[in-house]
Amino acid sequence: MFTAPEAALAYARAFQLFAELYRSGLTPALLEQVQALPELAAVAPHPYVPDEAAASFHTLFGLNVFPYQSIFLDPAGLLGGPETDRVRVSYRGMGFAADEASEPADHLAYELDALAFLCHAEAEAWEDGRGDMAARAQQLQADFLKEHLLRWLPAFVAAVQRQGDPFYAQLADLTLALAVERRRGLAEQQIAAGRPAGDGAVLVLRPRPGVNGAAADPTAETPAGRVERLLADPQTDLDAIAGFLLTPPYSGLFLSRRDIGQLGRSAEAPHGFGERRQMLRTFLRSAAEFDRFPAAVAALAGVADDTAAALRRLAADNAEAAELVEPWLERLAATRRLLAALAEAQGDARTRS
Amino acid sequence: MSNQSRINRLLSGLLGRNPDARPAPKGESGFGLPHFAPTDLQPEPVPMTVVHHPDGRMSQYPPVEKWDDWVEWDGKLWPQRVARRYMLIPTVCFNCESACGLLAYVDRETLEVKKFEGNPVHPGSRGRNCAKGPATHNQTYDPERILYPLKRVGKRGEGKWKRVTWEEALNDIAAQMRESRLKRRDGIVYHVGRPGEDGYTNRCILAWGVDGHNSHTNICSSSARLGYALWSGFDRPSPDHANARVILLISSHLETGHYFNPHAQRIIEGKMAGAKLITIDPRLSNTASMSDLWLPTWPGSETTVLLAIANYLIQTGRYDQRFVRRWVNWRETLAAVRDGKLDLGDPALQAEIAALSFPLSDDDFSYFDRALRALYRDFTFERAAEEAQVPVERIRQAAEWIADCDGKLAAHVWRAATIGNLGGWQVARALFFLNVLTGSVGTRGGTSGNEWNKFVPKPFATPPGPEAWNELHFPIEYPFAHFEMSFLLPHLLEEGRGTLDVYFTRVYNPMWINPDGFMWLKALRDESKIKLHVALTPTWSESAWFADYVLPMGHGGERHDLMSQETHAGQWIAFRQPVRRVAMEKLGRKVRYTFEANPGEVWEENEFWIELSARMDPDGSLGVRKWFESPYRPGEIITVEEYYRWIFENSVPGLPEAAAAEGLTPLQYMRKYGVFEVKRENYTPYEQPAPAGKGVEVDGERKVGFETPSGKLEFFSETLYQWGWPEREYTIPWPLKSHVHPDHIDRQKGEMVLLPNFRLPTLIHTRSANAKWLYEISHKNPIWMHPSDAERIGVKTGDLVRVTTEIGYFVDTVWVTEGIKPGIIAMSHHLGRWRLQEDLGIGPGMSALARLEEDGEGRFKLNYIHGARPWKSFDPDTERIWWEDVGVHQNLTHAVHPDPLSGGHCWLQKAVNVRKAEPGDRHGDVWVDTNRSMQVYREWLALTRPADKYSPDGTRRPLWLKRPLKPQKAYYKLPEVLVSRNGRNGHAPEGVPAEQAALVKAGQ
Repeated sequence: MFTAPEAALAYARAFQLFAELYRSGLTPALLEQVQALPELAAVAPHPYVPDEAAASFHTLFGLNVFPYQSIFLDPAGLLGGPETDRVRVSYRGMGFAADEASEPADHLAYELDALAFLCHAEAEAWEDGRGDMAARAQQLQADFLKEHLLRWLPAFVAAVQRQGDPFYAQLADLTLALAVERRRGLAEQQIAAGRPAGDGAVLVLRPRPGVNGAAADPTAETPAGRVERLLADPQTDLDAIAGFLLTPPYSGLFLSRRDIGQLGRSAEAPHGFGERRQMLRTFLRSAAEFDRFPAAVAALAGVADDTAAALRRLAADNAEAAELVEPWLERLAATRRLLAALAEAQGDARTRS
Repeated sequence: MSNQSRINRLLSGLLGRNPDARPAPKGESGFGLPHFAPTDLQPEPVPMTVVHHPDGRMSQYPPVEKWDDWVEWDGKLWPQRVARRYMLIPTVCFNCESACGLLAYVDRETLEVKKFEGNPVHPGSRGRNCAKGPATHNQTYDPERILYPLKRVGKRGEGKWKRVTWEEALNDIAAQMRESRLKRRDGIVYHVGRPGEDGYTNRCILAWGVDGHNSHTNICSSSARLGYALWSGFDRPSPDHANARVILLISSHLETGHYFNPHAQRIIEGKMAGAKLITIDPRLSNTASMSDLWLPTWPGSETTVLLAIANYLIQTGRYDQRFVRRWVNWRETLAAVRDGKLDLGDPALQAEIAALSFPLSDDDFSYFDRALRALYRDFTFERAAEEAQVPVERIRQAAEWIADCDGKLAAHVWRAATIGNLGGWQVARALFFLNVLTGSVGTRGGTSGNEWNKFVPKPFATPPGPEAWNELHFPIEYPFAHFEMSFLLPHLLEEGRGTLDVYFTRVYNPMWINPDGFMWLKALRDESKIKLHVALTPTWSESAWFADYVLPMGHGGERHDLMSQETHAGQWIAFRQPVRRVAMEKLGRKVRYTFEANPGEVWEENEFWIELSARMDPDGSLGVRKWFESPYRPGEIITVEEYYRWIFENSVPGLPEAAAAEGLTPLQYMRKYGVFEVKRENYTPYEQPAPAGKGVEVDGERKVGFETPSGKLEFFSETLYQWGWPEREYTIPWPLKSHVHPDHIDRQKGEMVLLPNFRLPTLIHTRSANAKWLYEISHKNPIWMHPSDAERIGVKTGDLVRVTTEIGYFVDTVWVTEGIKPGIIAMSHHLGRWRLQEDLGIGPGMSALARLEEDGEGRFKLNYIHGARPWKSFDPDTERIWWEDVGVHQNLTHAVHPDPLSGGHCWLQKAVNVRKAEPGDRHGDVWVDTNRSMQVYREWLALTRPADKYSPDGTRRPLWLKRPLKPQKAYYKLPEVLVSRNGRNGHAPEGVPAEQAALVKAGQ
């Protein structure tokens, strides 16, 4: 279908366009580009009103689903921590600089910018007849996809798709499809070129192990371990439970304000306003207080199950995504275990009283 | 849409590419469900093409001038209003032999096919299709289809394949063809199941210089062909149903016979105009249920019933004496009476005729009338009713209607009773006797010869007939075979009668479709007998599994073919096209080979044969290459487009003029319409004045006449008399005792007749498994059984029954119904597909996973491990398979029954025993002893009267009879030394010195 240089150029443009969309939303300038792409054009708002488009963008990414790697991968659930650092190190390794004046380096738009940057470099290398440089650019793309973007993208996509905005739901779905397909295409080219896939290909250029390696904080617990510890700890209260649920690397869930609002409505328990943590605490406490706790746990389980189903669908639509989704399903299983234990404890408490 | 193709599309957009004229991405994972592009255009209100069907209904179609750019709403997306922009490319259905027109809706951007609908300008199908036509879409997007050329690695049948390039396959196969051709002229064989075209491949075989055509004819139509050929020289009827007064069908023709769609609509048309419909069939088919009269005759009694009707016409004088006097060989018949060749059963009349002065005058016709009265006087309605086991009034009613038909009797038999019974060819002969007696031959509303209603244009050059005689196809025992003894190939190989160097099977699954499939299994596995087996097939089959190469060839919308069929009393040609290729070319993109446009690397035979033949003879020294050189570019290899261009410019009367009137070249015209009507009507062509030096004299005028030795319709067959079949039951229309005559079936002992070959109108022989819609409609073949039989053996619907045949047994469920005659069980012939590997072969939803075992002494056992299951593919429908029962492969347990004259396999089986299944029996079980197979084969072989003993002129076969790819006359000569066969020693005719005879070998 495409030669390698054509593919590099096309991917550069795709990553660039998607980066802009995540950075600024569907602005009039971007709308024109989007109209040329049937899959996105079909779900673009119609009629298009620039202010409404800007408002939708802010509602989604400013108030509900935060498009940062650290939000989805950092065990502390904080921006600008070690995950952001890992991303910065990778950028340095490839010679890409993110302007962090407005957003930190691990914003989705920057990660897509970085990939676009590498694809451009690859396309130029092909143009210059520098196969070695092209191979190096490919290796960096493969590494970045593996170490960063693809580790959190499935959970991000599942979260966005729950928010009921058709345009961004489709954009998120396409973003995952694009990244996965790029990874597959790169692996295929590596095989065709007789280079071993993965590690050891362009050793010189690999960032220092331990800094940008397989990542995660060695002291971090497994989700299942975390659940067991929470359950065993007599100090565990509803706030700790809320903390767990709001930390995607443990719970596998990203609960937006909108999600929590819906939990409140379905369990008929007030959820209050403010930060997500605040909202979820209010919800759990009021549920416990007004005898809505079983309904609240059931509603949470419902969200976990829906998320798992959405992830399975992503994997089913796209065989290549299956292994990416697996860790997230494990986390969701831990959440279900926690919720089941809560339901059981509640039942026991009743029997006793 | 797969992820890959989805992203490729996105990237194309970003590269600013016009996706026009660009096929969907290729590659294993690039093949998936079709996707369609949105368009800003909106459907405009345009006057549609309205077809007023003669039965009163109307259909609407996009007007032809809009076919290149047609916008319509995507109905699947309703209630959303999404418009799509298509190019409508006509093609021809490939899912039966009717050649109905199809119109492919090709998305102008993605080049994917949205749907196949009817082609309103096609004179045969007239815009309509049966379920099989639109199902072409299923076949096109079948997740299990074969996308790339495959070559066997490991042993035959082991299931290990590697992908090869077309170049590798072509070079290897061509080299082996060349090697064979240098040694012999019968080592390359093309064995076709469904030809779907007229003459293209036969021309290739002739060009290779071999006698190498084989077909499925002898498990299908051979007995009908012989019956018609003996009368008339043509071997296939073409009834004019629409204008008939009486339609007489032997079989369930309306819904399942040949030309189902074109004929069914015309039968209904005729019926609505008042025609009476009579159906002879032991099974209450859908057709029988819609008939005015149903005659559920005991199999094999049909000839007697037909002759009882004939006798009624004769004895009452209600037959067309003028027609019979003018067109029947009554003078030759009376001469045969005089010479004692035909016994009238009336010595006084015999003596009177012997005393006549020959040559006879027209007035002497009265003696023929008397002879007929004498011959058939015992064929009373009562006798017929008793033999057929049907009420006598029904036969009388049928006779009354036929007597009143006024020259408008449309009658047809093809596969039913003719191919069912020993001597079934006499059924066709007796049926056509009624056409002759009523003067309904080639008349409006009567029955024509197929050649009058079919048009096969000549190509730019035709190679001469082969200089060889293929003994494996036309063995010496069968001088009247119509045609190749295809189903005996494994038995003949087993006897050591020959070998094959290069064996092409084309849309043909011999191991599954033929009787005695385990004999095929043995033959296909034996590399010393079949040295190279190349399966040309769009889909997996049981036989392809044992091939050396599996080469994917296109479905109905993926190939070029030119086809014509005798659907009614006119003539037309239809052009099958690779629709994506044509769309790409119309959008300005060059395509050299069709596989560039088809999914994966699916090719078409037309181009494959050209490239293969050119490689077989690169320097032209074999004399092959010259037949594949372009008539437009001397010395260069022809393209497929040039081949058809030449035909359309030079061989189709009226086409160049029709094209010029629209400002098109003839090729452009055919690409646009896909069809051309050559003649609107063509009645009684035999009455036309004969060209100088040809024809036959009738009432003092030279007429075209018939292609028989006498030029007339032959009541008495001098040919059969001469060739060792002098008895009355052979030389004139007369009943022959079937192998399932009631005398041979002891119902008290539990014996029954198995009717194994009725068709379902929604299935495609062995190709349905790749059409999900068709399989959802019908996927199992339970045993039909009458309640009285079910009660006798103690079973009810759904119970398992074990049916024991002459060579083995099978186990299937039973369906108790009054729709079948007592004493007979029936099964559809389509179903019971199996595969040996879970994840490769025929689709898991359409076949059973089976285990195949053999004991090394010729006994085989097939057991189902499990039935159909849902499976995962790019098509979500494959996960929705809700059935398990995919039927039972009964043909494996059928012994071969070659009719000694027609050579057809007599399908009806004696069910030695039918009883409730035994403990341990499971659905789908099959067990066969191939040692028994060979015994039964020899019993039937012993019925023959071989040419080396009976030929009157030292030839193998009467020259006037049809034969595919007739060898040159010199090769009709019998070999002077017979090779040893069948355990008999060869012998030399007396007077030939042994050393001289030894030099002369068969077929060289």
